[in-house]
This record gives sequence, C-alpha cells and structure tokens, in this order.
Amino acid sequence: MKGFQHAVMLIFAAAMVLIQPGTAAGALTIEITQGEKSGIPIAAVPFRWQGTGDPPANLRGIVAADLHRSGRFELLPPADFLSRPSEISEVRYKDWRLIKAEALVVGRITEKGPDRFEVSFQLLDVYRERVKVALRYTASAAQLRQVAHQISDRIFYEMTGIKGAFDTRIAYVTMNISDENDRIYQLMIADSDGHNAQQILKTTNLPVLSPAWSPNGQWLAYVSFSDNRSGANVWLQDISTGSRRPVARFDGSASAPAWSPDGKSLALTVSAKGNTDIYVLGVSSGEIRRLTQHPAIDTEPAWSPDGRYLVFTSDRNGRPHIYRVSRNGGKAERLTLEGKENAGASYGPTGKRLVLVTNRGQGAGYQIGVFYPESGRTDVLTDGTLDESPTFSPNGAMILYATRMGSEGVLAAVSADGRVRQVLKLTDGDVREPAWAASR
Amino acid sequence: MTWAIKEQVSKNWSEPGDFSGLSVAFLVKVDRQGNVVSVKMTRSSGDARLDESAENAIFKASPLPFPGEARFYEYLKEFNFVFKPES
Repeated sequence: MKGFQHAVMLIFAAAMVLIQPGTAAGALTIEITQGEKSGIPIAAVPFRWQGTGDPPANLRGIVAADLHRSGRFELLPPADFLSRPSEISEVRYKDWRLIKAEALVVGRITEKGPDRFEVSFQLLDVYRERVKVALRYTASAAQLRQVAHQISDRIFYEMTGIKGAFDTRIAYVTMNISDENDRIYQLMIADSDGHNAQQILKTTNLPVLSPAWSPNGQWLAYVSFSDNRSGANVWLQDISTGSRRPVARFDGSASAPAWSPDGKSLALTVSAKGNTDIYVLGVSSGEIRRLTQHPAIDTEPAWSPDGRYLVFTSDRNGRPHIYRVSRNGGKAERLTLEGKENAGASYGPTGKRLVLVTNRGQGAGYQIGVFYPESGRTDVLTDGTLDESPTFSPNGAMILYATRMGSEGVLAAVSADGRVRQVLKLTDGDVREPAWAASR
Repeated sequence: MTWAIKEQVSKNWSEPGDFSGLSVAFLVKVDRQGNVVSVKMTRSSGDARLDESAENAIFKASPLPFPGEARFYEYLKEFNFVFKPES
C-alpha cells in the first residue's frame, strides 16, 4: 500500500511538472508527439449504380487508386465493410467506427438520359457524424473519369488541407520499334493516373525529348529534330490546335526547355561553338540572353517558383552537381554537396524542396531524391538503379519519374515522403521523360 | 502504465500532415474498463485537421489499457492528452 501511494505521488509530481495552459489541473497529462505515418484510414464504398446494364465507370476504383497513390490515405478493404450505404440517410456510423475508418465516402451514379449521368458523393466524418462535403455532377460517360479525379481532389483537400492534383495532365514520350525496324517516337498526354492517353506528335527516327508544360497548360515545349543532319531544337506546340513551331533559330543546338512561372520566358540549354550554357528566351519577343558562361557543361535549367532563381546541372567541379544562379545572371552557387552526382533538379511549389536524380556512389546507380537547400539534406525516395526525369505534381505531394522494368522504360509515381510507390499502366513500348502539368 | 496508454493512442493517430509546432489538448474521461466516455477539447491547435485527427485517435484507442485494480481508478479516471507533433 505504501509503495502504491508513493507511486501515485510520483505520478502526480510528474503531472504537475507537465501542467500546461488549457489542461485540467490535477489530472495526469500524457503527451503524444508521434503518430502513424501510414495514412488516414478511409472507407470508400462502391458507388451505387442506378440505371440499366453495366455501370459506365468504376468511380470508387478510380478515387481509391488516386487516394492510395498519394500516400496520404490507407484505403480500408471493402471486404471488411459491414454495410454498403450510397448516401448519408443509409449510413450507420457505428459500422465504420468498428473498422476504425475516420472518413467515409459514399456515392451514386444515376442514369438521367442517353449518355447523361448524375454523380452524387458525400465525404462523411465518422467520429463527429457529420457531412464534410456533398457534391453533385452531371457528366457523359467519357467525362466520368474526370469527375472521379475531381472527387479525389475534393477529398484530398478536405482531409489534408492541400489542394488536390489528381484532375491534372501529364506528358511523356514513348518509343517503339516498327516492323520496318524504324524507331517511332510519340509525344503523349494523359490524365495524371496515365489513363485517357492521347498522341500529340509522332516522328520516325527523330527523337523527341524533354516535354515541358507552360504554366497555363496550353503549350508544350519539347526537343525535336527537323532532319538527321541538323541539331536539336526546341519546339512549341499548342495542345488544343496541334500547331507547332521552333522557338528560335540557334547557331548550335537547343534543348532542355523550362518555362518561367509567368510563362513569358523559356530557359534553355544551348550548345554553340563547343560550349554548353544556360540561356533565357523571351517566348513572344524571341529575344535571347545568355545566363551562364563556363567552359564546363551547364544544362537542365529549372526556375524557382518565385521566378527569381534558376537551378541547373553543371560538371564545372568534375562530377555533375546542382547550381543556382539569379535570373539576372552573375555568380552561380553550388547547392548539392553530398553524393557522387546530382542532376535534373526542379523545384516543388513552395520552393523549399527540389526533386533530383542522385547517385550516392559505391555503385548505387541513380535514384530519385528530394533535396532541401536550406539544410543540405537529401532524402532518397526510390531504389532503382536507373531512375530519372523526376517531376513534382503541382501540389508537391507526389513525384512522377521514369524507371526501368526489365528492358522497358516505365513511369512510376512516388509520394513525396517516399512511402507509396506505384508503376503507372500506360501503353506498351519504352516510356520516358514525364512532365506534370501545373493546371488542367 | 501511462506508457501503454501513450503507445495505444500514438498507434491510432494518423497524422494528416506536418503540424509540427502546433499542439492541441483534451480532457478525457474513462470508465472502469478504460472505455473513453467523453473527450473535451480544452485547447485547440487552431487547425481543425490536427484537432480532429487527434480526437479520432483517442476514440479509436478506446478501451485504453488500464490497470485492473479499482483503487487506481480514482487517480486515473481523467487524463489530459496533449498532442504536440514533432516533424
């Protein structure tokens, strides 16, 4: 008994020390500093189909795949569900607390006419028993995937406070060998999950490289060749009309285009007279300005989100590393000090992180890393040996990159914390050079 | 004893993002079996997402691992939980 009282006194002594404003005096205080990083447990019920024949789309499947891929959610398996509600009046919250779901998604697809569907969905707070979001959409069958991505975006925003980026597009390049042994290059655009792929350019034996979206999503800049003799040039193509033109004429070759955040300038790598440096081109004026001047190779420019700086890859100190320079030029500052090589850097939306390709040495090969310029730290997110071309989603929550699966190039997505990685299912062939659009 | 409770709540807390620097406090009442019977927020973090995720964690952790002996109950029927995420 004495021992117990002593123990209780000690607990009280500890509690008094821990008393903080806003806590009840006298009661024990327990401090929690670390939660699980496994994602918010969420239950998404298959949407109820109210119409004839088969449902026109698996909306639940698309939403669940989006949320899972982001790494921020743990999708509870439908086999564990005790009921299958399709709207709030059918929901018994207790069923969802039993499986420890914090949020619940229910919805319906209703046939309203020929190729006309109404989608309703609700995001419900299981523990507080209330509606967080309730929305309705009208769409054709072909628009239903986009509706599903918009639903994912709403859920993502509501639950994380970060704008969703599922209803966005990506661009990439595929290469296939034809029966005549020609190399067929295609510039493709697709939804952020790789579906609805659409070809916007096809060339034979003339490589297409480095697609880059204009900030408004209207233009793609990319590298292509007019014929086998001339060097590479950067082209601009209007996504909606398909019309295209070379951005400028250069004495040498131009590559690696990167749009300034205001969409008015393109940073480029230009190789002329045996030297490779970074230049900035006014998109409408055609005016060109040299930004770096160094006998080493300077390439792969990318802008900071505020447009004040550019980062680029340079081997001026031997191995490739990332450097930063003011948009007005001047002295370049080396950013990456760790690792054997770092290349292909670009900024996330806050400007505090860069995604890059890193080689940590000792035969490790090339992985995707997130680099923090302030601390100099690099988090390595992937474990391939030839991972390349990383691109942040517009909200910075995910990264798309190119990797190898057997002898083929494929695209993969990784959450920005590295926890969830997934290969995107795309058309056959060698896939490379992804670029994520900032807007739809 | 408090370690076991802390573990159980931590395990049930799915942090919805990086909220380091914020903190939220609750007064929690439990019955003799350790079931959480009431959760009152005594200080908000100012961010509803953190507040709600922390409150969810307390509910999900119920029943809390609790000493069986009756005399403990008097001292342990009420807790302050402070969630103070570290990055």
